Amino acid sequence: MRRRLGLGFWLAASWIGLVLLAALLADLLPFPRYDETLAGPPQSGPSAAHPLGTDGLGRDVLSRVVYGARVSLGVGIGAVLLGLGIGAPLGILAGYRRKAADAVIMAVNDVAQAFPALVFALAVVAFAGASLRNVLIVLGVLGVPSWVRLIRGATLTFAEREFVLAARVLGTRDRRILWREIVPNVAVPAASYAFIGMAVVVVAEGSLAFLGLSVQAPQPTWGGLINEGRTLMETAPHVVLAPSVVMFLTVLSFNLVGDRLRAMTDVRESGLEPVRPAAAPALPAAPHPVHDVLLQVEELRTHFTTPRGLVKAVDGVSFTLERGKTLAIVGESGSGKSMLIRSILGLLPGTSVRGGHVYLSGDDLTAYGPAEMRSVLGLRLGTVFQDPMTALNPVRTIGAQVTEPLRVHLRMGRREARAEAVRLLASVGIPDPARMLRRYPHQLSGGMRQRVTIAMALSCRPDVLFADEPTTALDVTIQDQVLRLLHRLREERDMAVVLVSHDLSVVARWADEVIVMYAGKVVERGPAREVFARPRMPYTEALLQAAPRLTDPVHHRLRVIPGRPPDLVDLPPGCPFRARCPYARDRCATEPPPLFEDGPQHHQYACWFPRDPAPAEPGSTNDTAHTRADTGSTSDTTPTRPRPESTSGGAGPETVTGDAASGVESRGR
Amino acid sequence: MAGSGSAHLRPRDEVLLRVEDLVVEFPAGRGRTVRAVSGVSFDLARGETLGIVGESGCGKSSAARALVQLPPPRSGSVRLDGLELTALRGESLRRTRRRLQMIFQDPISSLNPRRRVREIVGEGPRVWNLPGDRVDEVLEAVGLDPATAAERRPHEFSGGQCQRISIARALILDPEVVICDEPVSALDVSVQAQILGLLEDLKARYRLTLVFIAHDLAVVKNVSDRILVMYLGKVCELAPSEALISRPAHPYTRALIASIPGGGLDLPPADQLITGEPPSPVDPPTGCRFRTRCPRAAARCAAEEPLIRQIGEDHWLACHYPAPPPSPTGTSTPTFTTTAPSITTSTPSITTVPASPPQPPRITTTTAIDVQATIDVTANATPGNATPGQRHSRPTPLPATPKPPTPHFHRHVHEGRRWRWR
Ligand SMILES: Nc1ncnc2c1ncn2[C@@H]1O[C@H](COP(=O)(O)OP(=O)(O)O)[C@@H](O)[C@H]1O
Ligand code: SF4
Ligand code: SF4
Ligand SMILES: [Mg+2]
Repeated sequence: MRRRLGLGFWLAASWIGLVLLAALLADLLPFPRYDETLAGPPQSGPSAAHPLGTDGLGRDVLSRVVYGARVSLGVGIGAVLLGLGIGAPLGILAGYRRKAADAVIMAVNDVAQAFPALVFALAVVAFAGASLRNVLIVLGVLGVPSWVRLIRGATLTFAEREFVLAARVLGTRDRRILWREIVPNVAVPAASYAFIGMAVVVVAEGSLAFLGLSVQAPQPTWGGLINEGRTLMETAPHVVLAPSVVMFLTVLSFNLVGDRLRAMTDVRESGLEPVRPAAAPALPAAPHPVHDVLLQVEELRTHFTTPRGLVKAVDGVSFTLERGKTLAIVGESGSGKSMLIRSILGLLPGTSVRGGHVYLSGDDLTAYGPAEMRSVLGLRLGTVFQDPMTALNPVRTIGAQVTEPLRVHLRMGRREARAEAVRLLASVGIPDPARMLRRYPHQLSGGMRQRVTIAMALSCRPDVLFADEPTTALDVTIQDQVLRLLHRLREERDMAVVLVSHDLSVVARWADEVIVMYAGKVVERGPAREVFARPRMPYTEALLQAAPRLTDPVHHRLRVIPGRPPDLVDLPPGCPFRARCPYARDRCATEPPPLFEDGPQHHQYACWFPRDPAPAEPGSTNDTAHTRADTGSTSDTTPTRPRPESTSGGAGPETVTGDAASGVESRGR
Repeated sequence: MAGSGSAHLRPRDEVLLRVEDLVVEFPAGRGRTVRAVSGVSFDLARGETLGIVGESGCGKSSAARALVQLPPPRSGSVRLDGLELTALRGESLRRTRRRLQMIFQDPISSLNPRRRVREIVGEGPRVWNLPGDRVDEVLEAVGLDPATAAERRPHEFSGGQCQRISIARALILDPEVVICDEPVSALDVSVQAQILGLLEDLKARYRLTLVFIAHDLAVVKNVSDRILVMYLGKVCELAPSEALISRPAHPYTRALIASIPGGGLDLPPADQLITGEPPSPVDPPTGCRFRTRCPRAAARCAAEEPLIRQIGEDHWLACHYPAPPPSPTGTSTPTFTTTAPSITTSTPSITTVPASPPQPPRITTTTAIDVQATIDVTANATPGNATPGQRHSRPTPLPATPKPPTPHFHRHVHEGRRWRWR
């Protein structure tokens, strides 16, 4: 559950603990007091009696370093706590209350932060006298503006989360919201910065001490020890080295601990960071014929080695795709749709291994090196992803980004590329394209951005366009526009489209072929109309019945697929859908079903006990809808499902098939 | 859409929540204003589910948050059971919070990552000094096993399970109204079906009144008795769900339906019904706000904002030039019973006798045991002729469009009538 902190963290934390303990227990430790002169011969090197040697006055250096830690760490911890004590309430107030409180606090804070800090420190210490207390207060107060800024920022990010809104809707009072909802979340980043802050203060105190502006002799501090030792550099370097090394290690440890804590702050990261392309090593593949088609994917596999075990994200996927056709890949999140696209494109993270082959017009892309692959990616394969912002550079104009592939891959001149970019943007339905070239991505709506990424993907006239959930982030009316556009461009340019979508109605309308994925495998494949009208695999059937349709009656009970997709780490043997399948029998638990094929349409399905290919019965929609209304269960923890014993599957599922079919008739239009 | 007006509101004593002329605005910097919600009115009868649909940015969530006064609306009225929420401040507002709860879109961000499920769900009772022993009960009601779930933290759950936890947190306070703001939009199809089924079950079990907000019309239709279509901060059309989907009159509603593959109506392709992109709510068009994308727009649409008027039984529209009703197609024709549904209620209810679409609907009044009277209100239902007075010819607040008499419908109506509140 927790992320691993790593050995470095524990070493650093132990060092801090050791120094802290030694400082606290210095009086009990068996060495001379720090000010006991001539405890040993002056300027003597390390020995059994004096592990770090002695200084010019014969005082024990170890003792002085340990006592010095009292001041250095004391000031470090004290100043941070002081700064936090003043800064945190102000920051939380500013971040949570916003409005006037925020404006006033932040205005004052900005002025304070503009102050030359070290000059201020020197002036105050020189004026008020160099004492431990004064140094601590000055360094503490100097940290306040940074703390206010940091805590306010952290508070803001959490105060805008919906759980804070939910707490207010519950009627929770502000004080409780602050303590229960905000402070625990702000505490983690605050703690991490506290360690980094301590490192800063220890260095600052050292600098003041070095200038003689900290605690006065004979009380040792690390900065003071280094200063004193300076004169003995030639004869007794250990006198200066010992405090330097200890201080260096301590500062390093504070920073390391702080950094690791900060990395932990994100309870969960999005996982959407783009993968760096890496040459994935190959899994062995069986011999196979290479067909004369545009795209042939043969037994493609992508496996990840994770701390929990082997993840088969894509497990033996094969298909062919011809020009002018759209292949849709559907499945729920985590079914491996995106990974399949990335495997085809060779855009995999380094922790993966890839097997199988991808042939583009007969050329095996899996044999290509990174440089060759890059040119294929730019020229022959285009990509459009769900979030257009990941494909667009926020600080460059649309014009710079659309013309780049034209200039790099097609070697167009500046003017020619501009003219072509205007043509491209116009072809994807962007009004006033010449003006659009000068704008930045953030000035565009989501739909417009997606049009721009489509224009970029099409700029070099690719043979295949890969679109991974291209309209999921868009509104329905815009989604329709973008899908129409993709369809029109496919016709005009005679390219092939691979469309990844979780939305079955989109797939039914725009795809020629469809692949249904489940747990990294193809579980059903065939012409879109055929698959949606007569699903053979129970998962496809269930998915179709789980999706609400406009033609269903109001308050229609949707089919519920109990449970969740299986954990890919320890996939049970047999059919991956078995635990959720109402038709599962003994054989499903032991033998994984292969892809069967029947009919003239090459309809394939991975199921031992497929649904009947019952013909659609026109006009049966409403009656059968109610029959199916009772077969679902609402809870994924207490599934109740029919377990028909006969091979035919019983009356219920048959009517279900007829219903799904007739419903799809209309949507397939 | 650009519709304003409150002709469609039902008499006050019939509704639990009544929202009138709601205006929500946000500063947009440089002295400009985002007009998120501009004069929206709607109401909810007890036990009813009102669906609100519209594209992102049309003001659905702003309206939802204004209902719970977080933040309070710029102007307008929100009455819960006669109590004016917008007039309340501080402690007196806080005391009403139990009665109105909310469920959010993002299942992850709506749960505090540092607290355990038991604390999250038990927060409500703790705030209200109620016994906290109902945590297990509500966790079970939303389909989670208290023994394994209660001591874990949100990140150990899937999106669907997090949404169940959010629902449990809202339910434990026994709210009267639950506002669901895109509760299934972040979920996969199969999980979405689970949560929609769960909401319907809980609605019956805990006698809830729901506001269900989503951008997906098919999802909204699945759970809603009536649907309100919004565009750029305005109301376009309001009708019982079946009527709205089968006889959409507003050009925007038609475009929404046509954009969904398999809508079941013989509409022209969506690109003939809507063009371009929504304008900025900072500078909305004059007159009808939909006119910049409307193929039917004429000069009057720019000059004059359409007012909400009645065009059929409980069917309300804000448009100067509505389209003729489309004809249903193919096998998916919604079938309407021509006989009155046998609804056993003590108050009369109304049924529209299906006629061929272009004809104005006839309205029949039936009672529990037999048909008492048949009133021809054809004239009232003619577009443009509706006046506020005619509202009272509708004797029941419940949705009364023709629906197939399903067992579900029966249950719904029964319970809707019988519910008595604390
Ligand atoms: N970098 C990675 N390391 C380990 N597993 C991964 C990685 N990326 C994806 N996966 C796993 O691969 C599976 C399929 O993921 P993905 O292709 O993103 O599915 P989809 O596109 O259907 O949402 C998931 O179980 C996911 O956890
Ligand atoms: S193989 Fe068995 S478990 Fe798998 S889908 Fe078919 S019937 Fe269900
Ligand atoms: S016809 Fe006129 S009033 Fe009606 S939606 Fe179009 S622009 Fe608005
Ligand atoms: Mg994906």
